[in-house]
Amino acid sequence: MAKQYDVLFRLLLIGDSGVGKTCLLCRFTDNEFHSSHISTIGVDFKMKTIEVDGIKVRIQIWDTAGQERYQTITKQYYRRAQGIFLVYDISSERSYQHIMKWVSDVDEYAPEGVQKILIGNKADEEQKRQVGREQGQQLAKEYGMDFYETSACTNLNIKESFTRLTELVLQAHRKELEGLRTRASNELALAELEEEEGKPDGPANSSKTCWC
Amino acid sequence: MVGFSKVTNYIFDSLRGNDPSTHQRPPSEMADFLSDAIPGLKINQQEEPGFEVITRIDLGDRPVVQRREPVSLEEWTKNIDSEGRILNVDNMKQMIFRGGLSHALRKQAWKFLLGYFPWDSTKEERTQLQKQKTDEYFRMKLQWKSVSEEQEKRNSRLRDYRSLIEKDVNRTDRTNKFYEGQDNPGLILLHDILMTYCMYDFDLGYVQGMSDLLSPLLYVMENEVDAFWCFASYMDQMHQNFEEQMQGMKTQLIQLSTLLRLLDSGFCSYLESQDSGYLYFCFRWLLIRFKREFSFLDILRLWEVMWTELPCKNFHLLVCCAILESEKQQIMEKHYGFNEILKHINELSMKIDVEDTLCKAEAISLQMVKCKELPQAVCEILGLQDSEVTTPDSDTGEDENCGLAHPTSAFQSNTLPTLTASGARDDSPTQISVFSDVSRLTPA
Repeated sequence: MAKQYDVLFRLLLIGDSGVGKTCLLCRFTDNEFHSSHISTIGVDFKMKTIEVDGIKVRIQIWDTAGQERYQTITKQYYRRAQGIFLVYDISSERSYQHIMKWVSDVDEYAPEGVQKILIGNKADEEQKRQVGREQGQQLAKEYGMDFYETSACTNLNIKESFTRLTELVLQAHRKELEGLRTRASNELALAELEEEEGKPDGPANSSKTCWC
Repeated sequence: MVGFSKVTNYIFDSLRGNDPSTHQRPPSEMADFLSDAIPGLKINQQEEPGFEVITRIDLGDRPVVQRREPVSLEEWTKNIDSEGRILNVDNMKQMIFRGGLSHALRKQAWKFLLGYFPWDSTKEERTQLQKQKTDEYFRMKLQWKSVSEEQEKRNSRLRDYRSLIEKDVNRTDRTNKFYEGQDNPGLILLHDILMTYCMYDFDLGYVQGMSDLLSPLLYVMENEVDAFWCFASYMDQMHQNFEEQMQGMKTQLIQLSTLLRLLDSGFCSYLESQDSGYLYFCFRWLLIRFKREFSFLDILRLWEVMWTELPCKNFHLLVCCAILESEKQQIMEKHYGFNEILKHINELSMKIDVEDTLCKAEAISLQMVKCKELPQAVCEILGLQDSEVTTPDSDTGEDENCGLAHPTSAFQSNTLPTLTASGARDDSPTQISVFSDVSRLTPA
């Protein structure tokens, strides 16, 4: 059977409630958009395989509830992530201001070296804009992140931003991945390696099953 | 005796044919993880000596359970006296538990089931009550309605509640005819009731998930005031789930784990080996009482059955056990890991049969009620310790607990591990340990 992917990464979507995290995810994985999506309770995730630099990357994207009350729960998923989308809504000044708080949570709970990217979503809602493009760029620069304005509704910069974060994660793990292209049989999965730490007898291939 | 509180090895039931060498996560680690996940959770074994060590219990055969037709309008009407009091309340609740309510009856009966109307009230008294509650509702509604924009600028909590409510109302059951389309009047009602609830309980305010609990109530009541008071009653039951510390969620996850361990310790061990022993994948089920897991009409049925508070306390946890039991085979055979378990459970949404699940959950409850050596912790959870369950002969002197008038307090002060008679004598490797300190996590 052909190998389905070379490497598995976990990405995480965080940001205030209603900024469009689930919509970004659905647009990316299923190319669907529903303006009246249901709110996320707890956590959920979707998978998609993309090819970057000739490497088949399976990405597992975790979607979280935005309300502060649930952060004690969602924070538990930070430590499993290699890349994080920090999402605000360009029509909500407040969601932009909260990015600071989200960044400090990431610093506290995510593993060192986690890759971050800033997303200003709902770019199609120009008439309701409260956060200028340059404000987004400025903030991203401060934190040393890449920045995209996206629209799940019009499919603006969705693929680009997901691919970019995946590239960043790949780059960050370049060393571990060096042998990958030369050794076709090596089914290295970074995410798995990290998960298996501390439980050496754990099942080896469980997260490789494809259920999509 | 301290050693008993440190029993950490769960052994797969050899009959289930699992490989005992598979890595298992000891409960101490699980406790650490859970308390990590939910700060403030106290299940550290060092601090909580109240462990109960029991031999695997034979729950006996599971009875076959039959459900009945929904209670009809005629059946309901027959049980009302000339002044409008409901007669034979226990019998009525039994019938509702067995079959639910026909839809035409819900608008009336839910008010009683939820405690908005007392069962023994006369029609006259209820008219009075409704009048008073209507005034009270509109007084509270006026409170937020009369806050000016300027005032709201200086009230960040109200602003935050409003913004969350607006967001959530727009994404609550929008595929249901009652709430679909732009400018649906149902959405305004949802919004106004939730805003008014913030005035009713400003400390809690609005927390995501609450719109899910309100939506079926408003759908059935078709009336703003009645829906509000039914919602307020339902929230009395569910309040702890939404509090800052999420105490209700912590308690329920631990209680569920206790029940599941008794029913199927092999499955529990499997989940632990997959870093899923804290059952976090059941979070959504518990937070909003399965609202997202069943179709809208099935939720009406499931909720009215659960509101009867039959056949035991925390029946909804047995509903969890029933669903998990049905999924166990697939989870274990396909060797699902942490991710797959969460994904599998999330994707069960809208695929679970409500009547089958209720039959199974009731059958489990009957099995437990009949069981003569039910662990104390399980009795506590199901509220069975007074009469139904007695511990068999015992030379440890612990069985008196079951007959005490206030077993909870006696239980709480018990600092030594409780041993069932057979557990104390039997060194068989199929010992399992049960958290017996669950009640400590439930505020009085």
